[in-house]
Amino acid sequence: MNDLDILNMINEIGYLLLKHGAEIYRVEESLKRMCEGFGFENIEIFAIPSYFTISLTLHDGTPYHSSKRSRVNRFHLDHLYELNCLVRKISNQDITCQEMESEIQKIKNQSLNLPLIFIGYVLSAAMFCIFFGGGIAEMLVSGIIGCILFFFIYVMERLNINSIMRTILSSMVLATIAIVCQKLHIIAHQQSVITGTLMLLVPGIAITNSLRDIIGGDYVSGLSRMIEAILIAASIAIGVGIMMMILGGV
Amino acid sequence: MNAILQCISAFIGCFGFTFIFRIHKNIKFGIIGSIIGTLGWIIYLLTESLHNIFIQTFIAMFCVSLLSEMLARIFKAPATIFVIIGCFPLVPGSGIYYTMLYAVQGMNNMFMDSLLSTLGIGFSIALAILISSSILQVYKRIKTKNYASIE
Repeated sequence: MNDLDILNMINEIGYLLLKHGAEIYRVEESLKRMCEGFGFENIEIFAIPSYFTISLTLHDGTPYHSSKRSRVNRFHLDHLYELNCLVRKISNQDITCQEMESEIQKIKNQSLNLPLIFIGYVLSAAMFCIFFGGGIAEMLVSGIIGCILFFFIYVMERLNINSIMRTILSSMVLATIAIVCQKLHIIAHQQSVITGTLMLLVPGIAITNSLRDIIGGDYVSGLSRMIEAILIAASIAIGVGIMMMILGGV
Repeated sequence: MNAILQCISAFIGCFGFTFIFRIHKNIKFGIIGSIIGTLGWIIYLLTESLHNIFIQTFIAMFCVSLLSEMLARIFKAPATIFVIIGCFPLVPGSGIYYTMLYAVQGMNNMFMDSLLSTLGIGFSIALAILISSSILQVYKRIKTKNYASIE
């Protein structure tokens, strides 16, 4: 296998790492280690949350440059773990090129287990409702909201609606259901239901990841993720606030 | 009793989030992350005598983050997996709701109060992650004697 094939695979690994929500320093360091493992020279790598670029010198002295763009980043912690193991193997050169290719194909071709994600939505909505002081009726209602939110978010992702609008609409849906249920006297208090189901939308990940980027010294990426977190929190507040004003569920 | 109920629900809730963040095969990471999250909430409850939600959140998140980093070294997995799951019970989700509620009701004093406390909790979480990761980075450097050169 020649240098260009190897570099294509390294590019693919970097793209997958970025896409599945690795921190910036992890992307940069993994790419650097892999390139060093294959013995390339003058390696320079730069990454931001949606883009990275590699430039290096091949074994025969030709300069090489490539860049990749990842528009939609999606958390997939399973893949993150597998990629991490793969990167460790490659940088220690414990793996042949054929194995490397088949491992990448294996990670790329895994289909998503949607039923399990659905269970996750229902379970965490219901349980965080109890966490915030809800009773049995509240738990059931938030479980149902979690179920509706799963399908709602699924449809909106298929329609490729941007994340801010998606958050506003989802928080409007959950606030509407909670307030209507309270008006119908199905539940006694709406706050545990709303706060519990809000946890599905809260930008905890964006905050933690932006901080981890800033620690690594990547201020550009850290700030862009921080702004994402603030915008998501603001859009949750806007969505819930609009429905509370319209329905008067105060 | 209420505290026990909260801890159990925090555990199952965090475990639900591991599915949302697509931990479908390495279930053990999901369970460990949920245990870390529950521990964080237990620490938050135990430090209640301090009567300061910011310091409570800071201590709890500090422990969560430190534990995650250590477990990441043990299991050779990225620390993000554990931190993302473990931070959920401490994230100010109810703060956002109450801020909006008071804003809609036109109670300006309460609105400012809860807005500032929500921002403060977010800031405490940030500071805790910052400090604990830095401590571990320094520890790693001292242990491997891999000191950076001063230019």
